[in-house]
Formats: sequence, structure tokens, C-alpha cells
Amino acid sequence: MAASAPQTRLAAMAAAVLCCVALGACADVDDRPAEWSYIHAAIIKPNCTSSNCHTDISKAAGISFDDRLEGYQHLAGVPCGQPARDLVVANQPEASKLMYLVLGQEVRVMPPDVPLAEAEIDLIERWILEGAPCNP
Amino acid sequence: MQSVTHSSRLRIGLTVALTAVLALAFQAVDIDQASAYPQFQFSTYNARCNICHFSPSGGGLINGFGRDEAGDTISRGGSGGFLHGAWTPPDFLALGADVRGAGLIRDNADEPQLLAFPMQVDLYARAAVSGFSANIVLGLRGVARSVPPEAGGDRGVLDRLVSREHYVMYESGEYYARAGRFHAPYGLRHQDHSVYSRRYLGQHTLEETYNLSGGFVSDAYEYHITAFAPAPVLLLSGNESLDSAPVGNNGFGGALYYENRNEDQDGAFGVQARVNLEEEVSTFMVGGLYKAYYEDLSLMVLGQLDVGMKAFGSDVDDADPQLLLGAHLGVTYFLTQGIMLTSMVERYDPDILLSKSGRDSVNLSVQYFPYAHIELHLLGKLEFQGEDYGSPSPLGLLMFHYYL
Repeated sequence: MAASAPQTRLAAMAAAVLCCVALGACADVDDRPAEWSYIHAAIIKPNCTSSNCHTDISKAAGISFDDRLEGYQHLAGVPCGQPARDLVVANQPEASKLMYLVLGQEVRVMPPDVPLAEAEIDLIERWILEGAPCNP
Repeated sequence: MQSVTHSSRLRIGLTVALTAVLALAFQAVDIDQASAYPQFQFSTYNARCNICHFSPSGGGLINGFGRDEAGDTISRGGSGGFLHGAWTPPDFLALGADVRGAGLIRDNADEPQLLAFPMQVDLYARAAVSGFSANIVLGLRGVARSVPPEAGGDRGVLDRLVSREHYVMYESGEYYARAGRFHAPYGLRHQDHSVYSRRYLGQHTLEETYNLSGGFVSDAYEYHITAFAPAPVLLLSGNESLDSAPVGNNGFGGALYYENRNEDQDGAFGVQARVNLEEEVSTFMVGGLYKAYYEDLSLMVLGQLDVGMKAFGSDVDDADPQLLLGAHLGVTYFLTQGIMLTSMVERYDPDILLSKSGRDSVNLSVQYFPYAHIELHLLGKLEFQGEDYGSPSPLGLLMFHYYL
């Protein structure tokens, strides 16, 4: 009997995982979306919203990333829809303090407990280069 | 700025995962869902966590037997009793406290940074009558960080009070049911909240959820079934209104945990699953655990391997599901009574099909229990981000722990 589409997809994913683990070779090209909605969900929240850090209850440095739009405003200094110009400066990673923070260049690295992986930093840089768009 | 390059290369760090896979595949033992010190299961000749802890899944307040073990087996002497044995609470009541402080050194913008801070202040109370019990932990949140005035820095002690556990439980023989706030049984739960199996898998500080849980715990095996919901951290003074106070899990879900111990009661294997459904991103995980104590070598081996998938909600544009991997392997050598040396390797990768997205760590620690109630913990850690094994982030930590 022919496998259904979901079964085929699952089997393909499982095979990919096994190959990746066995051979240690993974994708070179990061095709993840350089969008705030993704960066917030996949990078910022899992790494920056520990209980003593950038949550509503702690607000380290006055910043909370619990809410996606509020978090954007903390980084950009402006509401969603306007060009970022604070910790993130649209199109200018070299002028964006966020990059220096995540790289630990001249300032204490963020997150301080486990710094971000290179692929995550690269995606944030690409997001800034593309204008740091905020998709509400 | 850092260059954006993605070269193909072997992912050396996955050897950690492969090691754990091999351990799971070739060893025949159990998994326990860890207690605060998972190294003490089996190595103290106690097969179940709840021999020493009130919680059926381990961790938290220790019972009378646990206090005896703390003095006789784990430490180099002294009475493990409440108030060092000066006063014993009535049978229906159990009390305790944990206080931790730490000094830390780490890289900071190319210069070493020294920090000293209080780490934990928790009080425990448990009242039990005829199989029913009420359990609570009351502590101070965020003692390691100050809050700037513009962000509510005038918060006082009331707003730092937090109860990370409070639940009622009914136990009948080997069965139990409990409701309230606690960590849903899943995985190794070391006392160190920064280990990846806690940091990234839903067991970080104050990420305890509200649960309905039930299970069975015997010498031969145990299982725990839990449904959970987010647990908001309340600001008790009522000065501020928070819409999104839960830390970590903001969704609803469930966890399953099963552990089977061997006949010799010196090892176990386990399987587990966890689902967390959130609006932005949902997580589905399955995993296995392995524990074994090799008495002749005075070695305890703990392994955990989890694989999972993150699925993004419709409001997260164009994001495909991601496969994640968590792996943990630790070996503890009991040098003599009261001194244990642990070596640990870990890996967490939130997107295993993408290069340079993982992080690895190598830990070495010495834990010294000179006297019942007292622990000194010296930890050295190297962390590697994005498979860059040439420039690790070093961390050194000395922790003092006192329990009442």
C-alpha cells in the first residue's frame, strides 16, 4: 500500500535526522526567515526570557521580550512599522548595539549564561541588514 | 561584524549525542526522572528518588530517611536532621530550607568578570494526614539581579516572593495523584539549573507549571503522567498588572515518563515524551535516559537524549518546523564519602539540520559535603557555540549550599 503524504514526510524527516547525526553534515545555507516574528519565537524568547532576565517580572535593563511587539519596541526604540533606531538600527548592524551585545564585543556578552550560536547571530545580523522588519 | 559564512563540515559536537545513543542502545538499565541530585540514586543503594524525597518524582524537601542518609552516607558526618537534630517537628509536619550563594568568574569583553551573589533562598513546608499532603516552597525571586527603577525597581520583598512549588497530593500505596505547581516529571533534573537538559527543555528556574499529575512508583519501575498549564509569577503587592507573567512555558501540554530499574537495583532506563502547545511555537519531544552505578569503580553514569520538533504558529511567517536535539552524558566518581567528582558533556541544538546552530559544553565539578547540611561545589565549564571548538566561553563557579 502506498504511504500517505504525512507518512512520507515523516519518514523523510527521520531519514534526514539519521543522516545528519550519522554524518555530521548539515545545511550550509540558512533559509530561515529574517523576520522579527521568527527571530522572537525561535531565538529571543528561548534564550533571553529566563526568569531573572528580560521578562515582565524582571525586566533586566528595563527590557522585556515576553510580548513580541513590545520586545520589538524595546530593541528598535520605535513601534512596529517604523525604522528601527535604538539598540537595533535598520540596515546598520555595525551601528546596532544588539550586535555588540550578542557578540560580546566591548560589552558583556548576552545572554550571559549561554551565548548565542553563530547561526543565530548571523540571522539577527541578516535581519538588521534587511531593514529589521517587524511583521506584526 | 562577524562574517556570515556557512561552510559544510563535520559536526564534531554530535559525538556527544552519538555517545548517548550508544549508551542507550547497549546498556540495559533504567531512567529516572531526576531529582535534585540524580547522582545519589543507586549510588546510595536507594533505587527510588522518593525513598529520600517526599516528592514521588524526587527533588525538593527530604524526608526523615533522606536526612539520615544526608548525614550517614552522603556527608562526612553530622546529623542531617532538621535544625541539626535539635528539634524534630511532629510527625504530620516536615520543614526545611535551602540557601545558596555563589562566586563566579567568566569572560567579559575580553576581561575576566568576578561576581558574587545570593543564588537561592527557599523555605519548605509539608503537612500530611492519612495519605493527603499539602506541600509548599516559598522563596525569593531574582536575588541575583537588581531591577532598574524605570522598570519597577522599587519592587520590595513582597514582589520578590515566589512559590515555585505548591501542591496537594494523595498517596495510596505505590500510587499517587497530585495537583498544583511543580516541575512536570521529565528528564534528569540536576540541582544546577544551567545544565542544558534543564535550561532548554522546560525545566529552567521558575518554569514550574501548574499540573495535574498521577503515577506509580515501585522498586521495579515507575511512571508519571502529567497535564500542565502555564504558571504566572505573581507580583504580590498588586502594584503592577502583568499580562504575560509565566516564565518559560506559556502553553498547555503534557508529559509522560517511564523508568524501569534492573533486578540488581543499580541501574535503570527510561523513556519520556513531552508536548507543549503555544501560539507562537509548539514543541514536541521524545527522549530516553540511562542510569547505572558501577559499585566496583565507584562510578555513576547518567545519560539523557532527547529529540524533538518545534512547529511555528501561523503568525510566524514562512518558518518551517525545526528538529531539535538535546544530549547529556555525565560520569560521577565518588572519591570517598562526602566527595564526588563529576564530568559532564552536553549538547543542545535547536535546529539540527542547520550548521552552526548548536551549543556544547564540557563541565568538571567537585562537590564536597564536609558535614551534614553543608555543600561546597566548585564548577569549571567550557561552552562552545555554533560548533566553534577553537574559542570556548569559560566559566568558573564556587557555590556554597546550606540546607536546614
